[in-house]
Amino acid sequence: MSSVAGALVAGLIFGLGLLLAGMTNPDKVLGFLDIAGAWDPSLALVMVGGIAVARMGLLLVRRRGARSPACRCTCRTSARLTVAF
Amino acid sequence: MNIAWSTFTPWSALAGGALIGLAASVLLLVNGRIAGISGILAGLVRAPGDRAWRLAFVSGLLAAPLAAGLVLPQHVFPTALAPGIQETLRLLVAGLLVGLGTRMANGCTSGHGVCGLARLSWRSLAAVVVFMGAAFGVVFVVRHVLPGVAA
Repeated sequence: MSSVAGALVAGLIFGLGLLLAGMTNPDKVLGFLDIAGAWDPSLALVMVGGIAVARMGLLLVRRRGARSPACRCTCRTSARLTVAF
Repeated sequence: MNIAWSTFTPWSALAGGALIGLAASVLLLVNGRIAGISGILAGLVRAPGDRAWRLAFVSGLLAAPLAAGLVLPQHVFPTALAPGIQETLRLLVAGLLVGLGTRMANGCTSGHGVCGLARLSWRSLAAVVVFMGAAFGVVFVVRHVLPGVAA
């Protein structure tokens, strides 16, 4: 299943997230990468927030099992999720 | 190490990150796809039957920052918006390098950094450690080594 609406909504949320996190500003990203200069740890928190919520989503998908499009490959046979790129 | 307290934005960073995680979850739940931007873009070129959702995703991704850039340019892009020839060429080369690197690594900050780490993938951890390390290294050389050498 490749829902265009779902992808559009996901993209919109992603873009909003990047915007809110300040990731559209190159100086903010460079501030994180410049460890010897004035270091801005913000990007680390962006990753933390992202990974935490993405993990919750992943666990939800696994719990939903074969009913979810994400599980068309392996959910029934393996505990580890393998998804087509 | 000297922390840039004036530019540190912990709450909006966390919230923005949470939205990114939510977007990845939506794409996974509804489409069964990994929200790895480099992979999605690559597929636009290399997966002819499979473009509609990719176009939709990329359009959505660009919409909010583009809209914000039109309405509040100083807030979104504080640095100069009109790059000269040299800067434009640098951006093109940099973009090309990012494209090459992310395809070789089969992922980027969203694919490996968010989705891969959320899956507790060792391969993604390796990718993240290496590309972040490379990024820290390059910035260090460009900002703190080269200026001294040139002087």
